[in-house]
Amino acid sequence: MATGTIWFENMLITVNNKAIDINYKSTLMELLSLLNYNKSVAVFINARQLLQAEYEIYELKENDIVRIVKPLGGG
Amino acid sequence: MYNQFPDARILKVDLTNREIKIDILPGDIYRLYPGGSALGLYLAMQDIRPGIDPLSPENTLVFSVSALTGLPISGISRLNVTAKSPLTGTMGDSQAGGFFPVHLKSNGFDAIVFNGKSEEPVYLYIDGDKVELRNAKNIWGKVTGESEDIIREELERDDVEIAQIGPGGENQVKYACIINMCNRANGRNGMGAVMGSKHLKAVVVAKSKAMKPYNKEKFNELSKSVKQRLEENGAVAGLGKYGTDGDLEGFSDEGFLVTRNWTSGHFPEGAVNLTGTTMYDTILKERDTCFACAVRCKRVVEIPGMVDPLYGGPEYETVGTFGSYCGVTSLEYVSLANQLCNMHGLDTISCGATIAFAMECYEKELLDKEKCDGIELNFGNAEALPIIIEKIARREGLGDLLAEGSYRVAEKLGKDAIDLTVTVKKQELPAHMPQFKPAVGLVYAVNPFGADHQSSEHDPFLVMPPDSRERIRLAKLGIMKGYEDNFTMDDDKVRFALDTQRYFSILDTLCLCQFVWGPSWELYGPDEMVDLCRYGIGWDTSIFELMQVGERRINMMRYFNAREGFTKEDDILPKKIFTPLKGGPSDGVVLDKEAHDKAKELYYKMAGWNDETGNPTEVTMKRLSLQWLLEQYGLKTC
Repeated sequence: MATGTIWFENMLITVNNKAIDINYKSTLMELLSLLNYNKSVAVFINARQLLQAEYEIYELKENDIVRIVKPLGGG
Repeated sequence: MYNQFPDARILKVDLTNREIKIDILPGDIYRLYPGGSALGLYLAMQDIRPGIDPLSPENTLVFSVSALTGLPISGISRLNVTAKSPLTGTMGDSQAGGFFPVHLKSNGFDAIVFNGKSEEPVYLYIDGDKVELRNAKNIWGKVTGESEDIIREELERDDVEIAQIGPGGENQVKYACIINMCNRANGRNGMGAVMGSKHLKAVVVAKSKAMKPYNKEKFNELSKSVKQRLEENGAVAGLGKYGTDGDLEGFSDEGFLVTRNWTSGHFPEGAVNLTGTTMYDTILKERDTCFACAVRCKRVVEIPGMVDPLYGGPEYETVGTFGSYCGVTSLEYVSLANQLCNMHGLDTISCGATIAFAMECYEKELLDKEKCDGIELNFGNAEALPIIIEKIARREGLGDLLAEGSYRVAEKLGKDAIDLTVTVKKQELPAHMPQFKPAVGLVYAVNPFGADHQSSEHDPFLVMPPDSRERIRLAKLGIMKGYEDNFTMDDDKVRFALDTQRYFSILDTLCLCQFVWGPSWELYGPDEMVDLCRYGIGWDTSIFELMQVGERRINMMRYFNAREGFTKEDDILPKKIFTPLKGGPSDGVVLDKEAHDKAKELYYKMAGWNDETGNPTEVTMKRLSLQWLLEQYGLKTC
């Protein structure tokens, strides 16, 4: 990991056990859109469940471990 | 606000004597059983004697809609059919959408009660107060599309809706269904077989005008909010775009798509082909709808020379049972299987699941090639599907055996075959796995008419965050606890299962679509359901009264079953659910039997049912205003 004031264009995070390269400072909502999810999912980041109100504002960080759960319902 | 609850107009048809009359059910009674399944039960239980053969003239068949049916709003046109089930031996119950329900109501009827048996095939024709039985000999034996054409030609009008049986119902296949629009099915419990046993081919209603709401201004606010609700609700919008099959690939990825007769939950070789996005990109011709509904979830597929759009398109359950259950990867053959079931009037869930069961029996040498009429009945044999479905509908060869449903086939083949069945109360399980959804599994076990995926809310919605639409609405029913995954089964989950079962029971009573109206993810939640009753018909109700309506319906069914000798010993999930799955992310997964059994015992206590029998106690029956049943039958259930 570099030190000092270096800006990274991308960063690595883990989403549902897969490594993903994503723009630095992406919000959670941007990640969800990238993966074709809408807001109707549950999200756990580093084992903490986020409120839906946080989806637009939460900035992802390098090495975040993200678990996205899409509720699979009836029909 | 005080407004008298409307009376119900009941059409009573004695098929034996060809007598037709209209009864009025007073509003103060109708309010206790305000339509659909509850009204059907109330009417059927007046007439059905204990122990009758479901396929005899002694069975009563009820078509019913609700006090709300006909209002111009999304998700309101559902037809309920009730009779003693030839598949389960319990009270049977099934719902379908379309336009038939609203037009039954707009002709002035809340229900039709059929008793007896016609000497010759007939159909019932309703045009306002003109109601007549007409000869159906010329359409007996015809598939649904042909019958529709002939009926319209004979009546010299196109503006009719037709609910009918196909050859499957005529031949009393135990899981025959009733079809309207050639593609909407009252699928489960074999209601089509009951209709066939009565020589009743079809019910035809002339189209008429929709109902006017009680409070037009407030009702229109509720109705017109659907556009915004759709924009804000990704789950329902996705359902509209990709259909109920939209999540199939997701189920496989998670390891919980029923595969090869429940031996696995992972179907990577077929899931991409079969999923709703592929259907959307390939064979989908258009999206169809029910009366006044903005969601438009119904699929219409077309494959030139193979599949006719008249017969709609496959739902998730159908793709599951004919696809992954059977190890079939071809969406084209699944669509053909769907078409044949709609032509012949067969429930796609029980039909596909019974064929999948037969495939496993064949591979395990419990069924040989001779018994299979020379068909190589291995998993994955897509070309066998249309051949076998035709045989089942006509009860020819292997089809005559499979027409009895998987459990009865297994009884003939022996214990090893029984271990391969996946049924509750002899009805095949739908494509939602209890291993993944333990609360759904609990309701599969205790549900009065066999395993059903539309009788309670599903576990995954409890994983949503506390500020989500799903959890906010569930909290209004007192369901507060969230979970980090689907798999936990604890005391709070039991309460979730029971309370949402009661809620879904209201929906089947008010004849509301469970994709539009519901307790969590749907377009309209509990508050709006109460508003619908108030503004729609001036019924000043509460969620308390409605939940009790739902609970009353479940207890009536359970009491009927008790009368037929059913107990908690019949509330058993099949052995396969507790057998480790093979392959993929769910390799080795089973439903925790100890947790399931404990949950079931708690469920009986919460429901007010007897610990030993699992049937409603006298106190529970009285609490739900059902003492009249105790007086009528004298059966003490505790």
